[in-house]
Amino acid sequence: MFWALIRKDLVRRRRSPASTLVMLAFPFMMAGLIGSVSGGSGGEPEFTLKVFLLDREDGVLGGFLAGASQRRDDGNNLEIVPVGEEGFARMEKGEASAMLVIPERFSDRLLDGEDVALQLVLNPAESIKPEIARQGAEVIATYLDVLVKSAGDRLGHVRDLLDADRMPPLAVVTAITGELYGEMVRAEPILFPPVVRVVRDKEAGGKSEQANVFGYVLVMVSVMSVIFVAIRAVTDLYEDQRTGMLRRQLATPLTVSRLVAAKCVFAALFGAAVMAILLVAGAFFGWFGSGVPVGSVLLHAVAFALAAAGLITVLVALVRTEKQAGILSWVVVMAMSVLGGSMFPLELIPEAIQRFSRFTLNYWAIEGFLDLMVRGRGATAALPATALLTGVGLALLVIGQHLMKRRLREALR
Amino acid sequence: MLQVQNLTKTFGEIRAVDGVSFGVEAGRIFGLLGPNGAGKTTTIAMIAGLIPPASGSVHVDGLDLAARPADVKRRLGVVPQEIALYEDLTARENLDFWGGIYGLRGKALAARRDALLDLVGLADRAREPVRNYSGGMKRRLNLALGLVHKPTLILLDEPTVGIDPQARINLLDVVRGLARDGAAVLYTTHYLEEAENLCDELAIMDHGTIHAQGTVESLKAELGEGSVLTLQGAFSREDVAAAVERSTGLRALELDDGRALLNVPRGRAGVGAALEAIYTSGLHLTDVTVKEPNLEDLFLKLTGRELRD
Repeated sequence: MFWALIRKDLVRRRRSPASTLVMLAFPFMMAGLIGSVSGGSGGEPEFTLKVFLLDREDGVLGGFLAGASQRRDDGNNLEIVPVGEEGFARMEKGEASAMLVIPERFSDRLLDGEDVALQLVLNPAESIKPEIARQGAEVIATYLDVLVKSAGDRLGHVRDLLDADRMPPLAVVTAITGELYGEMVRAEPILFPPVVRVVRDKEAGGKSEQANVFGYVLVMVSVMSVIFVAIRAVTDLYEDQRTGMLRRQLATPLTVSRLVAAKCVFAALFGAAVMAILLVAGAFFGWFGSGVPVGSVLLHAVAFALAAAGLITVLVALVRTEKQAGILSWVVVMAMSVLGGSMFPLELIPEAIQRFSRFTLNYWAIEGFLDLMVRGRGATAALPATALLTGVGLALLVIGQHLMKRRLREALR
Repeated sequence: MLQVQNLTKTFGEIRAVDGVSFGVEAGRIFGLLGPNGAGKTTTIAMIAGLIPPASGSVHVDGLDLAARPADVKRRLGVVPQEIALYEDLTARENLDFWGGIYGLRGKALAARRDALLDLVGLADRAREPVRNYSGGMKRRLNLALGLVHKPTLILLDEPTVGIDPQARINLLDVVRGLARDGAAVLYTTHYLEEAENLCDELAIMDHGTIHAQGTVESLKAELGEGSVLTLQGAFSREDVAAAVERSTGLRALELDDGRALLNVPRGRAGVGAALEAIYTSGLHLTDVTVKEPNLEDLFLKLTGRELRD
């Protein structure tokens, strides 16, 4: 009897596969779009921002920036390529995301306290990367601005040192740079964090992640898909109520409890299956690292799908109609997705808001999957998240079943 | 097979069903005849265990519904008024699902499914999604789903609403066949002809109560021997009452201002004498009909309103 209900729902999904296909295609579409924009690809595991540097003064700032891009051992994703005037033509061809132009006598005029400007040429064919470059240029400008303003009269002294024919005494250089560094450190809290950051997670032991942007985004968005699958499954109860099927089923030996339980089990199983299909397909495309612990991933998928089914059952039971259920679920899922990291990496969310992330299912699901499939932290790394999702899921299912029983019995009267 | 005792249901201030009692024997078709809102569907819902009665009891095959709901429900086949099917599934898949609900599986389920598809004439369209079916085909499948587990008591709630005459005839033939095979059938309808032609016994229901019950013949007999004379025109209730009193053999069944229902003794002389008495009474008439008594007349007599009101 119980399995007849689940089998019927499976057959119905097979007969009307459109919504399921959308739920399967959506994460791939998003992974493809965001991954492509971010420069991720199957064989290129890192997000790299390529910026041309046209240094017309050949001075200190240009040298500093060119040197900074060489330090690629600490997660630096910025590639600065020195170019000449041909850089404009190469920008026309879309060879870089942006080009920073340092005008002639930039450093001299800066040290003289004159108003100066850096020129930034953006690649119109790209969207996110040029914006990151623009934000980066603004940070440089802000740093220089603060440096000039805080250094005050010491700038003249710095200039004398730079213009001198011979190397200045080390003690003098140390004293001035120490003072300026102190000024910058004091200014840092009001300068940072910048609006856009490129963050790269790294293990304490030095083991960096193996997956690429596609894998990241696939995990993030797949979690949303599983919740939408649960919404579709559980709101079927209201469709059955509307079409008279519910009354008909309850005129058989079926009880309301069993009917609701079967729906929740179906939502959990189907959601876990959808998640598994998505992750297996992602692995097939090489979007995840090697040595993924399949059993742990499946366990985590089942735990998350269970929790999603429980949450949606509670939400759906709070309202009276299929339409209301759809609206409420959608609002909650979107809020959870934003807070929990399904729409943006958590690093991009302000820290104050990140505190709420832990109250979302998305957060624990994504963290678990990332630990297992992206960060390569081993088969047991996600166990706390899996256990938490299982516990929360079971509690929500008990509450949801109680509420839903009451709701359906009311509907019969 | 079915014993309903003093069944009552209230929704707030409204008594939807008020002290209804009747019984249905195996192999018999019992009709609940009444207009929409009479309480028929609520009665069926209580017998099906969908809503609890405020008072009263339901026994099926000697089992108390309140005490053993699951056992009672296994004996019931409920065919609801609305067509409740999964339209994205085929007829076979719908039947498989309902069979599975009752624990049927494997060859037993396949055999029963195929027999029912033959019974309702859908075998050749069994693999098509139900959404492609006509209204009549959906009605027939709706009936078949209620029979998949061979119930001993079948509850049919207005099963012919909205279908064409031919489909109705076919469906009523199936219902007769079910009774012939030994099932007890409780059949609700607001179609008089259907009730007269199909049911072995009838209960006339309105405003939640049963006004009369018995065989069709015994119910008609309540109207008296002879014909029914219906008068319409510009007259008062008192005018007609006086005319009836002056005539011989005429009997008032239902009197109202502008309309009267009278019983006329059997035979030509009876009708002629009655018409003459009416004519000489000076009533201003716009319409006079003489016909054999039917359940519509009985319903009018019992409730003071027509079944179609």
